Amino acid sequence: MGKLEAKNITLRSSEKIVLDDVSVEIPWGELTLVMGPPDSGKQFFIKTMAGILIPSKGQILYNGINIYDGNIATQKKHDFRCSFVFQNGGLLANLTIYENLRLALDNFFHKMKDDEKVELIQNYLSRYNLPGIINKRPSELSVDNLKTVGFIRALMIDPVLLIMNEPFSDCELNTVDMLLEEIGKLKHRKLTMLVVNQTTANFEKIADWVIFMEHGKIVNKSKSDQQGMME
Amino acid sequence: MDITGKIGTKTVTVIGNITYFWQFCIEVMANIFTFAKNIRIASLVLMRQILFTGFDALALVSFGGFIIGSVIILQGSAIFPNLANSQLMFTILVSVVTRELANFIPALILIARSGTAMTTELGNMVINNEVDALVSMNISPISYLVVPRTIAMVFSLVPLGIYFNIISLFAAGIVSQFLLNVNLADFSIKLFSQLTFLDVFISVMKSVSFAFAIAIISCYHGLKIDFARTEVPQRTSKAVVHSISAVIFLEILITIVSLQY
Repeated sequence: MGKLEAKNITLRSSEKIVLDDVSVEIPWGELTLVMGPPDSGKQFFIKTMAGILIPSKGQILYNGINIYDGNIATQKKHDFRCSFVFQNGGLLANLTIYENLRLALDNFFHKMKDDEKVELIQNYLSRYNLPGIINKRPSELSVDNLKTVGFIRALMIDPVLLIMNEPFSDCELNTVDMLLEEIGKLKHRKLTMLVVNQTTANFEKIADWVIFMEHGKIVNKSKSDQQGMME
Repeated sequence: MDITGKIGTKTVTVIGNITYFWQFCIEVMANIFTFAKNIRIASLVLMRQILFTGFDALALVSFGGFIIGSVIILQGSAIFPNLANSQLMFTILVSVVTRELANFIPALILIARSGTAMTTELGNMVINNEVDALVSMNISPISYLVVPRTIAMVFSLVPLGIYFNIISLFAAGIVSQFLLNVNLADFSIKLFSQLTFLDVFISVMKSVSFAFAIAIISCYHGLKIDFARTEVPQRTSKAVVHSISAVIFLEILITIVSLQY
């Protein structure tokens, strides 16, 4: 059981304040949906929670420790692994799908043997019905497959925090169903998830909490069944 | 905003950019020394960069070297009609080809081929969230993207400079033999009598410094791209201008220093 919180986060982008003194606790082991109008700062918020953006003020605390202190050893020491699923997959264009997935494994699992990594990648791709794409480049894949591979890459490192940016946008219905089923399983395993989505569509039954943002601030955080917008 | 305000704002921006660039340089240099730790994940990038930057440029560098060597000897023959007996011609050949052009021409070729490719590739990676994806996996973009490109540029430009040197001097000898009836053996003896260890050392030093400048400037501009695809060609053109300026500056600086010895 962990405790994750953003404490007085302020972030500037091009001299504009995009996150304004944001403080919030992310419920551990639950799925939190982040919503808000365009330019409300939700993308900046999840990227800051993932350590991709460094706030000009404030900290991300994991069990009371500043987890993104500029030293990767801090995350390793506290067994904190955060994965991010990008809207466009975020796969490296000049690597094959195998190389993309292998990069994540090589970086996180130093002691894992080569054949174990190959087997793990093959197992994941088979599980998501994508065995034929292993040697393809991201540009050869459909949007659905890009998102699925991005999702696989995020899961492969066995994260304690999974952050997703618009996981279903532009996806076909069967892919949405498949990803929803997987997210449901992760929720059952009590994985902490933070998801940005434009609407509550698809998340009505699985979101535990909803955070609503406006003008770089969190204006509301509530249990999903208590949130007016969810009804 | 009045003119004073505009000048003030511009000055602050320029100072900010210079400071940021030096911080970037220091971080790249620091990461070069710890590259061995990241070789497991960055070896593929390093190999591909050496292949593209070094090996794939061989044909163009060969062509350039052959043309330069031939042209210098043909022009020299007009100035020194008795080329075989002119010691000065060989001094000029070594000074111009080995000390200057053997680094400068390959550097310009690599700016055009690889420097532009680096800026464009890294810029597109920023726009496509690929750099963010690396950060999200705790992979430093400096150590994974910039350092392998910098090392590959050094490992490409130094051999290409030496190769350009050999091709140019060989071309000068061949042209002397067939068009000016100068014996190739005599040509080689006189040429090597003019070539010193210092010439080769300066040549290598220039290649190393040019390689660092080109790679770091190109990568810096690539990673500086923010959100828009339209920034990519703008930044690429800036990277080319800045790389050429840096190479010319280093060329002059090292030449001035080397002339003291």
